[in-house]
Amino acid sequence: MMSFRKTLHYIFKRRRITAVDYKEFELEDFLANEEFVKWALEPTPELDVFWQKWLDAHAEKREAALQAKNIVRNTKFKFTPTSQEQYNKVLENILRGDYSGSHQYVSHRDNNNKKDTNSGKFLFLKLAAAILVLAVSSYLFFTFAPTKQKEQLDQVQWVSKENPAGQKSSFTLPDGTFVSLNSESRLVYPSRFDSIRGVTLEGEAFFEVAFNKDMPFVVEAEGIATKALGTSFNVRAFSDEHDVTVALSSGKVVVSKHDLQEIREVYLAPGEMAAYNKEQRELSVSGFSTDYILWKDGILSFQKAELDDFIKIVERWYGVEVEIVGAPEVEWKYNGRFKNVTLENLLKSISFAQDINYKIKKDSVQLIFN
Amino acid sequence: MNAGTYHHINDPQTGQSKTLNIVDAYSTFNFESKSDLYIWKEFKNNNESAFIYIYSKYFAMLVNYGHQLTSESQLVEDCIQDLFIDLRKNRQNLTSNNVSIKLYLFKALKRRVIEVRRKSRKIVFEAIPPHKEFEIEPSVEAHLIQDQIKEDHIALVKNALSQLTDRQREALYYLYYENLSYAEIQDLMGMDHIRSVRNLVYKAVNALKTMVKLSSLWVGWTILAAMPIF
Repeated sequence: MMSFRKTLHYIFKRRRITAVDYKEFELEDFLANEEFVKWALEPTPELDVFWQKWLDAHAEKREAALQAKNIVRNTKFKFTPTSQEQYNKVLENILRGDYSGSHQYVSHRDNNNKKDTNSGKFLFLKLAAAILVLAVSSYLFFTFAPTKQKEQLDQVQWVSKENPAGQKSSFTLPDGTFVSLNSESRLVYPSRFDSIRGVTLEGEAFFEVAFNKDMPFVVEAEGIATKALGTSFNVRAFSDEHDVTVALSSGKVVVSKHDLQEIREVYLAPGEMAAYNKEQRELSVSGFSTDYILWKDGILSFQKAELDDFIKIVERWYGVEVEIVGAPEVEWKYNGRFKNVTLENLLKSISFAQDINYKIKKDSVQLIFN
Repeated sequence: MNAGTYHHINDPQTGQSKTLNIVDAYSTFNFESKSDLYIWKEFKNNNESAFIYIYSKYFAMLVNYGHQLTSESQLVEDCIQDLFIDLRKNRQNLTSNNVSIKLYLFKALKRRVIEVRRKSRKIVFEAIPPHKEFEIEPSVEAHLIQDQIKEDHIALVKNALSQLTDRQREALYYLYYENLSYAEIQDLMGMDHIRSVRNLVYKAVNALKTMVKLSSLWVGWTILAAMPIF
């Protein structure tokens, strides 16, 4: 039977910060712990040693701890910037001893609200000294005015890279990640990455993620999020397809779908592909052949392509419309790989294989079946 | 930069003319590695460079803090100005034992802003947009993803955030934004016991937890964190 004192001790135990209590920590305990918060905001070597060791010893608390760290770092407050002009103006008034109009409301014990008694004398020299001091302290203003930690939200620009059908591109993100962007695709990302590297994708892209263990790289696409630290993977999320897929070439990623009802996440190993069925909202894993990501090297690949698939691929790759005249006798199951092939040469090869004729017009192609 | 150059200024206490050596002004750079106690003692010792150093280091921070307390920009600027004038004028009477200049200035500014606002209240006939003290904004990344989330999710997040009281938001501001300790927060918020601060923070934090659960943004980001990459 616990004594009254012991009961009290047990109730307050969670609120007292001792090393022993940490193992019972839940998310809210991390968020309310000043040592943890200090570490989340500014990890000094001493704090780092303590918390890394502790997390190694309590791996089951890692998730809650990282969640807490994210919340602490991402809870931002309104930031009001200042200017050099304002800084100078106020300092000048201070050195002159000129109170503002608001000063009348402040009670003083000695009731000494009057301005500097010698306001007339030596005014010129006082101003000269003030200007001197301003010149020097303007250096200090730039040293101390907060820019790094507390940036204004609307200073970050959103960058949007887009390819119409028939075009592909590649570029580098602010962190050095290299992106190959496919046709009919769009990637949106911020001009500067803060605590997390988040990008949004419509269509298809191959990412070669620059390694950064403090800042996870997350691709958000059509209802699923793919997170990696430094890996290479392909994300395919076309609005007209029923699946969103993530195919991993190297490294490690975790793919998760997020909706309110259920959280499902999948870890991928190289060679594996996660497929998210948008209609059924199901996430599954399978393998994938290397053909799947050849597009980024300019290799057009057909794998057991039916006529409809073929048309769609050609339309996207070349940005042309494909018309059909007649119908094929046999069902199509076309396999082929072409590197940097022109539309003309592609159709030439196809016409041999599939016994068709073709006509190339300005923005469209006619496939004629006999 | 001639060390022999002097300028005459008026001593703020006595009104007498005194000299400011040009070298004094440049020696502000020496304060960067010193403790608050040292800087404050120098300031009390009529070291003008120390005063300038304090102003330059905390000016922007005070503007930002002031704007958490009120949206009236002029009022914030006025209070900071008057506060520093008083500091300079009354330095002899100030405490010697100042381990945290930041806390000292924050307290002084808060006290002053509250008093001025209270006493200067005028009747205004035009509509003033409601000012929320210590307003929380979701982060940049949240903005990116919010475009993808359904409207009702955003509403849920905003609703959870609005459950926080002014005091709770204020406590979180000191803890997460200004990186103050519980003792400092207790002092700044004028609470009798340090556990009152902790209780306040726990209440605020539980509201944040709800936001985490409700918002698919947070669920999306943080669930992914089960990888050993801390």
